[in-house]
Amino acid sequence: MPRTAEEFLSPPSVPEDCYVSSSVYTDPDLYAEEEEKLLRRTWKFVCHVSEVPNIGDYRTHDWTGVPLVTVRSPDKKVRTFVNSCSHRGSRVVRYPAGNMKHMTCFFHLWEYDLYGNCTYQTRDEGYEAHGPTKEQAGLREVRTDTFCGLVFMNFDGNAAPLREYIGETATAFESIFGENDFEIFHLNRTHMKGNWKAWFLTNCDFYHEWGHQVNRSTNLTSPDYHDRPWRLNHAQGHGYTARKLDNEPFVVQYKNYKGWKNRDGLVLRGLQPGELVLTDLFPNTSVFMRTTCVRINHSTPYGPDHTVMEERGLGIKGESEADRRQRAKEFTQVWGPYSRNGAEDVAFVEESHRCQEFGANKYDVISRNEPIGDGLQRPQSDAYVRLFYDKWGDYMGRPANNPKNLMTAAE
Amino acid sequence: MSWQQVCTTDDVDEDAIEEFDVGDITLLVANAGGEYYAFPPNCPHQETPLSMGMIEGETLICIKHLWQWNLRTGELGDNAESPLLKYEVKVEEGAVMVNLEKELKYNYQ
Amino acid sequence: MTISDDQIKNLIYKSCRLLDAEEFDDYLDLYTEDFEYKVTNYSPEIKSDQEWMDANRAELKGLLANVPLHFRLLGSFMRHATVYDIERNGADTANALTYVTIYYTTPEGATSVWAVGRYHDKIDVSGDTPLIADRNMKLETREVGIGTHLPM
Repeated sequence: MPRTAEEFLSPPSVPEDCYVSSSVYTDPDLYAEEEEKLLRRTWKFVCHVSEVPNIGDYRTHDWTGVPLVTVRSPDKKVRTFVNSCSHRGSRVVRYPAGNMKHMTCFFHLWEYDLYGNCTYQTRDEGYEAHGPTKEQAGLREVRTDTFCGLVFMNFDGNAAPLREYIGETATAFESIFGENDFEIFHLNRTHMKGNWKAWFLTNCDFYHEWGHQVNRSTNLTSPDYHDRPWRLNHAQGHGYTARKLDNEPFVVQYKNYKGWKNRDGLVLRGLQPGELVLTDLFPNTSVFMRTTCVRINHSTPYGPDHTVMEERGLGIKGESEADRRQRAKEFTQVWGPYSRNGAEDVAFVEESHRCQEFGANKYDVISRNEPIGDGLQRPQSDAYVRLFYDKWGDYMGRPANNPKNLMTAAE
Repeated sequence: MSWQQVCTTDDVDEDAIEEFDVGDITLLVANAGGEYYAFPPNCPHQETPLSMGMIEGETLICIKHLWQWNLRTGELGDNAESPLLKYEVKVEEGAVMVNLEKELKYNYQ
Repeated sequence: MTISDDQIKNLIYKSCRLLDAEEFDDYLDLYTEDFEYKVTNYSPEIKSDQEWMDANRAELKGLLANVPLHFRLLGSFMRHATVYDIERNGADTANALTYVTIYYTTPEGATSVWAVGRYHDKIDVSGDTPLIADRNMKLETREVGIGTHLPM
């Protein structure tokens, strides 16, 4: 039965933790608050270590609007700096990646070493009277750490250490990353008109697999598809799905998609042929292991409705050209701008945003409940999405189902 | 029309589904492990073309909502909420014969 | 019979028209049996070439058969191609370089440039009609919005 206007504007008839106000995806004030309270206080994925293997290798990136440069310093430690000259604020390093001996601002040619020290001020006698001295003009260093070859940064100096932050969720990928010497072979970026949370939660919402022809034919047709439980990390807001309750792998039937074969070769160490393992790290990093390749998915928000999705593919360092080609082929069958799923996920987010933006959809329903025993939930349960918004509420100090009313009351 | 040759056994690979036209009737023939089955071209649920479906053993799977039927017994499998209509089939010297006395149709809403 | 440059150009232009029209069976007929099709680009982020699509006949045929079942970008593409160079490799093959601009038009009729790139084709000229033996669509454009299932 169609809903009346009153029903449409009212919260859905489900428990309060089972729906989300669409304003969390669209409201500029909430987004500004997210930047301050959440995004600058959690660990943000930067890159894989193979992107900065040598001293002087760097990657530029942004977070909460702040330009950053991550570089391997001469002591081989990977460091991150705010990529803005201490003088007039220009970006110091402008290219996405490369190798440098030092950082020289193009504007007035101030120079910094790879530890962030200011080492040269052009005609520095002009600063003798009032300063600043070189010692006072270093770049702002941002806390950076590495786990399993994944480089993360955090603006918050008081946040828990990275390893503690990832916690028990490391179970899903620590051994696999330990047994395989990975390096990057794929990177794509997509600007999307949609919210960063919607993108991340599409990765965590197995129910959306019904929308993918690949997943319908290769995943959902497997009789044991629903036998993998979500493993939730309530303390940090992470989650993963891996082995089934009997510790057998969940095996994807790639042969069910016309023209594809099952993934029996080039299997990553620690995985079984066809095995699929997915890990979601709060707030927006996902690590996917699809038998022969790894996908790291992360996004950079530039506002409530502008998100840049960044997707990486990892293969085995030093492998033969033929093996790399096969691995890359299998990666891009599913992921990337010309893949089967990648082109669909972005559209899912943009289509939802289109209805949320002007109020055509007031609430997101996240009520799926599929118990599998022992307090665990099956993959198509919304258990992880609910955990995500519970954690979001902790950081924001507002419930996701009614954030704007509280904001109005507080004002 | 009653019994009509729709195709030969060689026309439908194992675990494949092929579409044929006989007069005004369009139908699908599936080869499930060497057994041949014939049925109307679309799923009883939402008219999704079953030619894009899958054969797993004796099971026919529609690729949209994964409604499944046992082709031999006609039993409803996972997700299926209504039966699959089937034509009588016999194989005679490599010819796949189907009883097309009456075209089978679903009452789509 | 020697295959002329004009025949090679017509083959490449036909491949664009058939893809625009989504006449996939006829499109595949333009290729040799054992062709290799790739979409590639250079990534300054990882400082190397990368492949975004890599398919042989069986894989591309399977993909194109599945296109109607996929959730996909609505609208249409129009490819504008110019063959810049044809170079013969003996009697049986030729290399062709084609600059390609792909326009995308939404169902509402708004048109934008989707991507620019170059076809690096290896053409089999050993028979009566030329066929594409290998195609590498080397993209300049790496940002393509929601992406597409279709070869470029």
